[in-house]
Amino acid sequence: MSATHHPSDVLIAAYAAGTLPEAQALIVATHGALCPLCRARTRAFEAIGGEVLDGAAPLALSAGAAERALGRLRSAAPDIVPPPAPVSDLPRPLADYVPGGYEALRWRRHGARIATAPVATSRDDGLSAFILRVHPGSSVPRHGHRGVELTLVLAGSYMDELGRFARGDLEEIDGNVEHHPVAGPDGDCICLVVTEGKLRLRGVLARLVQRLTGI
Amino acid sequence: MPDRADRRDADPDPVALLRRVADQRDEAAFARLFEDFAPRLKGLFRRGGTDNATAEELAQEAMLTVWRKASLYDPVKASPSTWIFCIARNLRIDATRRERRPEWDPEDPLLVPDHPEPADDRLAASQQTARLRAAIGALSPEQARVIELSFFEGKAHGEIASALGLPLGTVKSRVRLAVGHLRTTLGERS
Repeated sequence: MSATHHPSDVLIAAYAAGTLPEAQALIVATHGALCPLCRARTRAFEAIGGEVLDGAAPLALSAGAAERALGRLRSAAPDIVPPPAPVSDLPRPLADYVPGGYEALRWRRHGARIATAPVATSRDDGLSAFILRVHPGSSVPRHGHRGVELTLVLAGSYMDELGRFARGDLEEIDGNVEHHPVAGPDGDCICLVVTEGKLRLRGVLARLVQRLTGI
Repeated sequence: MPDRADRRDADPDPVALLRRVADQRDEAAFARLFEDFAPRLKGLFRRGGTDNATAEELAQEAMLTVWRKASLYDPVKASPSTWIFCIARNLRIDATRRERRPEWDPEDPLLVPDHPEPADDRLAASQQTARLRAAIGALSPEQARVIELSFFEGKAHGEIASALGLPLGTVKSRVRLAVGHLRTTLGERS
């Protein structure tokens, strides 16, 4: 089964250029593990990087640099063997960030039907990454965002004003768009979510939930 | 056994050089790749804002990674320049931002596998490069500048905005337009 909702070209291009903040790169790369199409799109944009390298103005290295490199590799440690993938129910690279699986995360309940758990990246860059778990049929309060919100479905499904999202689908929502996701009936809906800034929840109940939970 | 100079001249294609490094640990092939790529890598890192000594060290480090990972290079998926760009990009992220670079793992059992590629797609790689080069050449100077700042200097949209003294929204729409133009070229393949 292939994903039907994909990151925008701008997001893929920034991932290929290496300029996305780590949390956004994590969600794009995890989508890539589930989406052959976006792996090919990424490779296509990486080819721009190849062109840029080809066109880069060369800068002479200090004398004997090539010889020093050869010396280093003769005396160097053995070749890099990629480390074995951790045994996990999660695709890499997410598995590297959530090594113990969902159960090892620090879950925080927001009422009986919604829970979140933070996913730590290398440093705090103003983005927040978390796993969101919603009971089948339950809804996340209508909300807007200060910045871009990215949601990747890992299990189950949800629907909002923009469509139906299932495993591998990535929804990219801009700051000025509000949406109201409702989890499908097919088991817990589990998502990786990356937001810029905090969410803005609508409605009295929603604002109360926000005050109580701090999402 | 042929001497180094003969072999160098006989086989300058970087795909073949990478294969010789991978299969035979061929130092002459590596030296030739170093000569081709290290100065441009240093130029790229220097443009990214690192000082001369660091740019040189990163170029060396990138070339050592080329040696170590040569067996992972797949000419069907990327040109040598693109593959080496990706190595340099990852080193830059690690060195300048102290961040990890999240990437999928082709060996991951949970990876949804590639669709089988039609044979003529493979032939298209060099045409693809030529088309891409033409498309980059056809960008407006403003659009070319934002692409250059992203891929060349590793600048995020906010940093590009401060570097050019433009509002973030203007930078974002330039990026969107530039990427849109290039996308038309890149997308013709599928």
